[in-house]
Amino acid sequence: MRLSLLIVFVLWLYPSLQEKDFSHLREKMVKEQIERRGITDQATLSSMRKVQRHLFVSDDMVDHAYEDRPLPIGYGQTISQPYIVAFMTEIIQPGPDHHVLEIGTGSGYQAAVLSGIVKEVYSIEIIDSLGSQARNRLDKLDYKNIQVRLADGYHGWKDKAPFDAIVVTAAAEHIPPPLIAQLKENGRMIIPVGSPFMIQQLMLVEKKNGRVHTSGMMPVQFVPFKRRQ
Amino acid sequence: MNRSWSYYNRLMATTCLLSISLIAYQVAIIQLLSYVQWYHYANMVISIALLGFGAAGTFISLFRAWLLNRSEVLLPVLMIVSGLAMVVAIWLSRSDFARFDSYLLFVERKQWLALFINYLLYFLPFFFGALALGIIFVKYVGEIGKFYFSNLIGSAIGAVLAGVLAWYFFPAALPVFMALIAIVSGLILFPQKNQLIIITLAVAGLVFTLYRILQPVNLTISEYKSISRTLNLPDSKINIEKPGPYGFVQVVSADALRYAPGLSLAFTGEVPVKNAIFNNGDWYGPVVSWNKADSFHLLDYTTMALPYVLMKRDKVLVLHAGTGIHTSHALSRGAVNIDAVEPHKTVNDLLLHELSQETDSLLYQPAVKLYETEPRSYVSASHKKYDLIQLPVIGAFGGGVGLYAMREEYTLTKEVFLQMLNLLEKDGVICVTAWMDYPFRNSLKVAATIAETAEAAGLAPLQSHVIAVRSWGTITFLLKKSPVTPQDTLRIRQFCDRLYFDPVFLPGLSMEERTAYNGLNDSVFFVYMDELMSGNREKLYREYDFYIQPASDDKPYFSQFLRWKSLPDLVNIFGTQSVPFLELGWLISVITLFQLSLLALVLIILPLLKIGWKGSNRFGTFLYFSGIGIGYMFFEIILIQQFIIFFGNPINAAAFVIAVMLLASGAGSYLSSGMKLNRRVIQHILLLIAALMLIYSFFLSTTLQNVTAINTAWKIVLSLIIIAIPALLMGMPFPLCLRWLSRNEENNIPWAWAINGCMSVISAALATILAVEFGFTIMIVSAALAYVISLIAIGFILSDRKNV
Repeated sequence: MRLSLLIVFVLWLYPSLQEKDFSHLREKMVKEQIERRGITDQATLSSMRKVQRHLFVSDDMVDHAYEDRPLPIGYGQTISQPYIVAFMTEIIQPGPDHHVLEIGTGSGYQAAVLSGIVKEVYSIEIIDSLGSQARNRLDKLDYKNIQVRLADGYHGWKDKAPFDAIVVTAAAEHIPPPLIAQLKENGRMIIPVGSPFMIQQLMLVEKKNGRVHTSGMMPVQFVPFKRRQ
Repeated sequence: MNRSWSYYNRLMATTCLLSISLIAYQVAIIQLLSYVQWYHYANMVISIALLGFGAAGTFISLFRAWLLNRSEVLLPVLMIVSGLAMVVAIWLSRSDFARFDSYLLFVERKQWLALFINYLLYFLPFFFGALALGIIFVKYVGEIGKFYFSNLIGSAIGAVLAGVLAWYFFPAALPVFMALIAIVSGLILFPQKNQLIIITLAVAGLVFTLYRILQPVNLTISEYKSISRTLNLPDSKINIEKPGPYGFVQVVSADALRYAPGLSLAFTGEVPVKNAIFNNGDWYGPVVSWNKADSFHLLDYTTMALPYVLMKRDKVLVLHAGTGIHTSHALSRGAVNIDAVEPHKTVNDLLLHELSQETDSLLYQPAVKLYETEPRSYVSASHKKYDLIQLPVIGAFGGGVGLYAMREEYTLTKEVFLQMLNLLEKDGVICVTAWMDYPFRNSLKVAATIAETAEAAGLAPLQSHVIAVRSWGTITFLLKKSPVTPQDTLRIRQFCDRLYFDPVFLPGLSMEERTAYNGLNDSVFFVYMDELMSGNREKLYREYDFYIQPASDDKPYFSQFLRWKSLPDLVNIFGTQSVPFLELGWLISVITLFQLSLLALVLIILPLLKIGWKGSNRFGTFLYFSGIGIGYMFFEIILIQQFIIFFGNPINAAAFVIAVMLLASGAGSYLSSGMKLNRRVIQHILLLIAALMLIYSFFLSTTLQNVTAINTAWKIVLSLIIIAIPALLMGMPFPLCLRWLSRNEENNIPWAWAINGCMSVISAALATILAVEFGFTIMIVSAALAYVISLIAIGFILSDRKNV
């Protein structure tokens, strides 16, 4: 009898133990991979602490969820390295009353991080199965301020425009003109440029005085490619 | 007596057929694996698989007596099993346990297990086939000259056959057809005993193979290939598929497929949906059109419009015209004479026929003339003058992953840039666009190439002849024959301001103008650019973390940027997972060489456990057969490279060189049968080979360049002479020494076969790295050196003075 109770107790406790493990990993991720690399925005850090990244990867990748690298999620897509997600979140300067458009929902992780900071996230995914999975996941995790649409992101989300910020995760050889049009004046768009598993730089697009400017951002902290002295 | 004679002839025929099958299968598998993965991974898998030849020699060394005693039954069985294994390899490699995605090799450890399984699957057909050949060589070593001749002739036919059949068979079916040949060869060698086993095996093999030809397996392509990602788009479908030796071409349509490379952020129009062409699963280009009713061309809103900003360009040369985007752009800008050079026959045929309507008959426009040849060859032979020479865009969006590091790019060498400059009219320009990459590589190398070209041509000051304009994603360079005028400068400034671009090189430019619209976090880029335009570039070449010196004809590897000494720093910055994606092609080549060397070492040492290491003959045998194996492969690769430019067609050049070399070597092997086994003869042959190679190292490249413009018939005659003479001699050392071994050191024969097989494969992998690091001249000298080593080694082997 006592043994049975013990077994039941352990089985009840086990999920909690598991959950603590992930919390610890998440905290470690924020401290070592994000804060240490210069992310200071408290809203971003707080959101990164809250969003359970391991719930956004496939079962066979759960053990790697909090590692300092991108992970494959199928269909030739990846869930970005945690630091990149944090960097992109901070750089668009999200505010609590902001409406943010995301092109390329992917796993839904970036949208989840943004949703903890802004008023509303509108996320578009062109691959039906990927988008549906992300939508179901976000619904299950009770993210109420994220809307996922299965559509071609080229056209943006006209009826919800303009946007304070736009995050383009599925970058291509051109930036669709409708997205520029749907960005508010003084709004910010961020686009990671590089192949899967190798984010080399991020491009920030800003709209000021009716003109559009871009800046290359380096997510890597060091500037290595200088001449040897 | 008659039965023996008949069996002998059947043996000769099956040696030839099996050789056809093995070589043709090798070529077909490279095509298949290049389609489902990438070329470098295909090379990696095939290199390991070809160790089957070396392994066969090792196996014979260890079980010689047992194998030879049962050869009459074993030979047909091995041939049939080899054929079956060819089919099974393709079928099983797509199963759950064996399927791998090369893109994830540095991301998921389990991919290495799947890769190893693929190694094994593709190794087995070559192992069984080579085992059959090896048994024949060992058993009939007295006739080695004739059997080796049959082997080489078969290999030559196989190389050509694969190229011809590639036009008709899809990637999944082509290798299976080669399996049929192996099975038939086994049937021809029908033994007197155990006939039921052979018949059963052969029938099963034939049925399975024919089934797989008629119902090819569905191939699983890497999800990271362009075509896979495109086919994930809604309503995407493959409209046309065409096989061919240039690659498997597919035309895809999707409602969300748009292409506007580096489009200006000032553009407010609609980017049209276009179909796209893929080659071996990689993006080749959009299906473009130009109609006079069209109001604009998308490239007008990119930095690639730069040459037209300065003036109208009537005579335009488009190199690597691809699917026609630059051709259509030139047409839209009123060019009246557009020479479009594109070597890919399948793509050209599509544009001329099936896609003609979709392109508004672009290639049939009166102003457009298509030249189906290698662009480098066209430039070398042309005497026309142009207002604009347009090169294709360099690099990929986001910088790519360095998969092109080991690919020869003959259109991007210093020498060809100089030739292009000579084809320009007075105000003509060469236009090169590169995707901006980080770390900076492509853009710096282009700048270096242009700077050195301009200097070599005496254009001074450089800053007056070089213009560059940068967008958020691309940078376009113009090398102008005449100096930039104030009017040019004004037009470029207006162009930049209108489209949110920034000038990088322009007379009178301030630093602020260079980043007015597109900032760079690492502004040291401009410092490097300025140094490249000044006389101080040598220091930058030495000290920069990447190799940015211009490519040359001797080292035509434009996309090779890796510097080993920088690797530790790169790992620190990007992490061990990301660094491979910086220079993946290079890394794969090194890993291939490492794996091959390790395995070859095992295969070469194993027989020594049985036959022992005693005697100077062992060392001599090792050196001799290694030398001739390495020298042969190096020389073949160099010839292929040289003749690609000469013939202007990489497929035909490679097939021609391989076929002529093998045929001539086969003839040499046959002639060697009648030669006395004399040390002096062998030494003279080796010396002559080495001497010829040294002569070629000095004169071959220059000679071919000087006669590029002669007609095709004379090209063939000249090529035959250049290739066949050394190849004839190169076919003799192997059978001659094997004959000597048969009389004096019989145990060494299969071991020699193993060494030669292993070294041939290693040398193919080594050749790539040597060519990239040191250039082709060093490679040809290395080939000569390899034969000198064999020359020295023959002294060890023949030191016993038996029969010499």
